[in-house]
Amino acid sequence: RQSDPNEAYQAIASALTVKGDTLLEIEILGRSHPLPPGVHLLKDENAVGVSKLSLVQAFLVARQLLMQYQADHASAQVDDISAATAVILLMDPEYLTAANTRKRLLQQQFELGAPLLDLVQREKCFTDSFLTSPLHRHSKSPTLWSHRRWLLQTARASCMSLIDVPADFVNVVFVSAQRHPRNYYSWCHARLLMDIMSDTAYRSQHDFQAEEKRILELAKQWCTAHHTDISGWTFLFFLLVVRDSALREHCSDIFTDVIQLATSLRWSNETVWVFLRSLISSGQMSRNEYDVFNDKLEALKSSIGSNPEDLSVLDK
Amino acid sequence: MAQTPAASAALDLATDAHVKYIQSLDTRKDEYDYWLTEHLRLNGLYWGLTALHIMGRPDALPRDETIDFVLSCQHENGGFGAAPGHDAHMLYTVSAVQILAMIDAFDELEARGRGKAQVGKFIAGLQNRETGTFAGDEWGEEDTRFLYGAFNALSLLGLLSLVDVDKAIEHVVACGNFDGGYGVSPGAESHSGQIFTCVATLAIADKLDLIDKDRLARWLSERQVAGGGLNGRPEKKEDVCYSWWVLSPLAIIGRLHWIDREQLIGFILTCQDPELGGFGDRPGNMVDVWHTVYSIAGLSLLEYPGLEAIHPAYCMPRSTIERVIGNK
Amino acid sequence: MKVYYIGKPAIQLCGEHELSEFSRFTRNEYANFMTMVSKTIAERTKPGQRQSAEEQGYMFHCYARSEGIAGVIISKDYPSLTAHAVLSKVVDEFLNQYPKPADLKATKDNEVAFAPLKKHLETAQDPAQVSSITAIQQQLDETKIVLHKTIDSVLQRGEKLDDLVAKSSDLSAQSKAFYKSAKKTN
Ligand SMILES: CC(C)=CCC/C(C)=C/CC/C(C)=C/CC/C(C)=C/COP(=O)(O)OP(=O)(O)O
Repeated sequence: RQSDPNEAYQAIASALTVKGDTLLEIEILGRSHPLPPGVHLLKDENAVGVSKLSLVQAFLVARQLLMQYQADHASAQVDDISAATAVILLMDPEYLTAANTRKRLLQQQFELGAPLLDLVQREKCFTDSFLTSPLHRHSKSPTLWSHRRWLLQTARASCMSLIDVPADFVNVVFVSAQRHPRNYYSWCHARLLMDIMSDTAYRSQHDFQAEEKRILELAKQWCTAHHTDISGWTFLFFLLVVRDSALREHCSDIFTDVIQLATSLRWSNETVWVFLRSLISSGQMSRNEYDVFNDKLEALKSSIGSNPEDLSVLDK
Repeated sequence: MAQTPAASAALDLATDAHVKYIQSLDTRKDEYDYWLTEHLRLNGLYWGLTALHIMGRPDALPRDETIDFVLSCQHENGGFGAAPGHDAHMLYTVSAVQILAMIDAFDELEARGRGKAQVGKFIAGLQNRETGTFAGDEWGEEDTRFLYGAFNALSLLGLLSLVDVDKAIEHVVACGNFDGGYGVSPGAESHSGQIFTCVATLAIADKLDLIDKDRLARWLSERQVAGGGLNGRPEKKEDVCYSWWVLSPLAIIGRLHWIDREQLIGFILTCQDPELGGFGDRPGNMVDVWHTVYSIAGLSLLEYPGLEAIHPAYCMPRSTIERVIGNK
Repeated sequence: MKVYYIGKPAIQLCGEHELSEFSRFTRNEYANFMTMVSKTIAERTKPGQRQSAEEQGYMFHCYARSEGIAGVIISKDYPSLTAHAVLSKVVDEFLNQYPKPADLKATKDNEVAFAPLKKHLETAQDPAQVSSITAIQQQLDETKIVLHKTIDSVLQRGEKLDDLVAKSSDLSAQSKAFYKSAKKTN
């Protein structure tokens, strides 16, 4: 059953080398999905299923390549090292040196004359594929999110046209946030995106007021569809209150909608009420809304009456 | 595999098994999982060594080899990587300093390494002088984890004066949230792990008066769920590592009694593998050294019998902190 | 929140899925497993009874009617009461279209056309739209929904889901193997 590790490495490395701008949907196939001997992966359009066993073999080969390269930069070509780091990061997204090596390679290619726009675009596509794939740890990996942050900072400095904040929300933040519920790092990244939106350079190229508004709507929709997700709701609160923007004027509408949903669907979970309570005490709401809050909370408590666990949550 | 909760009633800490488990981690060089964890090696050594010290077995790992390995991870700029050939980063550098402090080997750093001053320079160079916070490395990711790491290591080295302490403290305060907790950066979600980093930093800088203690303690005490375990945020599952991240800030602000001690001890002990040693995140799950140290550290804060006292701001033995810094 | 499946076993008259959350190479296995379990729970729900049971993080909600049909919703992080409100609506509509289900004489799965099912599945994904059916929800008595911690407790004494999966003729050998090890790694 022993297969050739180099073969596994070649197969996986080439499957991870992305061309164009379609994201890959990568998954790791473990024991529940055995592949015939000699088959290292399955492909179906943009979907790639990698055998766990082959990935471990490939990782050992890739690690060796990276270590040789660290000792002697002349030992390998850019494309080969780039492929090796991709395999390593698929095995373990916290492999810091692999992520940093990719940054150095990008800089090096830029110094050799490659257009920054293309380089960043391609690396973004690679990173986003990992962040949005059905993999256990990648969508919440601080190292991968930090890699993406570095790419955006690079683009922010010299090719702002690469950044489309609403698209990043839809294609990356919301997807990774769904893959790993209460995804701390995707929502931190979302705050960075809002920060970029405040750049003069971004504002001069986009209708930022319309974009802000749209993001607020999308974020609210995302939260009501994932009502137990504290990270999503905390971001919504950030958008409405903490960020101190024109969006503050929507506090009332959102409060009204959410409390209506919460009581009619009897959401007695902690997160939604943490959100509502924060809004009420944020200084953005009226006395009248405060009364609504208390009435609705009391009404909900009496309607779910029977469950002591729910009650203790609402009593906080 | 760890026990099921039902079998937990009168469990004891399986100290010998845990010591053996930690010792075994370093002797498996031919197994592939040794290579799979290479990029965490220096952190792993800190986790293992701290657990051993707290269990009263500081000599269970060979001192000379430990020093050799730590020094082999150092870069010319003073920073440390996870293992030879790995990039330098704040988190590994802090682990290196903590390990050397625990085994009283700063002299070796001077004699055979690049010296304390160079380490201090590496760390201080990562401060953002405008905002006061710290990056993890030259690539610029900023996080209160790195700020705390800088304060931890620099204070052990006696080099806090290399950085702008006031600016850093201002930044920590700015990371405080409405709910009493703290996040990775201003405006970010509260998380028990990040609360530890912020509160421990304030403790090291002697600025605990800047904390709204009751509000913070309330949020932290709400982390205890049915079954006794602690979670890191609202509506998350419990995880034994929060026995450290939640308890240590409570200990620092003098509110340890806001959680149910007996229940938590019960939960922690059901997460151990009493035969093969080590702790997993929840009962029945695979063990690892990371969950092992934070379980044992938590038990030490709870004054579980037979354990050395741990310092809540440093996650190292109190005796080490007294020797290196004095009474703190 | 997702509603994965709505169907009417033990012969599945009709069903709809929303499985985009699952990866490309496991989607079919999940779908097969869901069909198998939903048939099982439908067979074990008495006419007039409502029950909900958990299995590996998913909730199976079932509502059986005296006319001999049952509706099933499979969901994740979705309020049970709401799921049952949706079920009432779906089953009522089905009986409007086919007042005598016994006359349908279905022998194979998915033989019956019931177009509104797809629309209901879509609507149910959006809480804002679902809240408009709270009128039904309010008539629903929460205490009438029997809640089970696992599917095993829905089964007859001595029966186990694992055994039923192993014996099932609805599942391929591949699906059975997948179920077994997916359960282990959970
Ligand atoms: C010297 C010592 C003791 C520590 C060094 C400083 C560090 C690294 C502190 C880490 C603190 C910590 C655990 C931060 C949490 C980071 C975070 C936001 C994690 C969110 O990840 P999830 O996997 O979602 O965790 P939960 O699911 O449990 O919330």
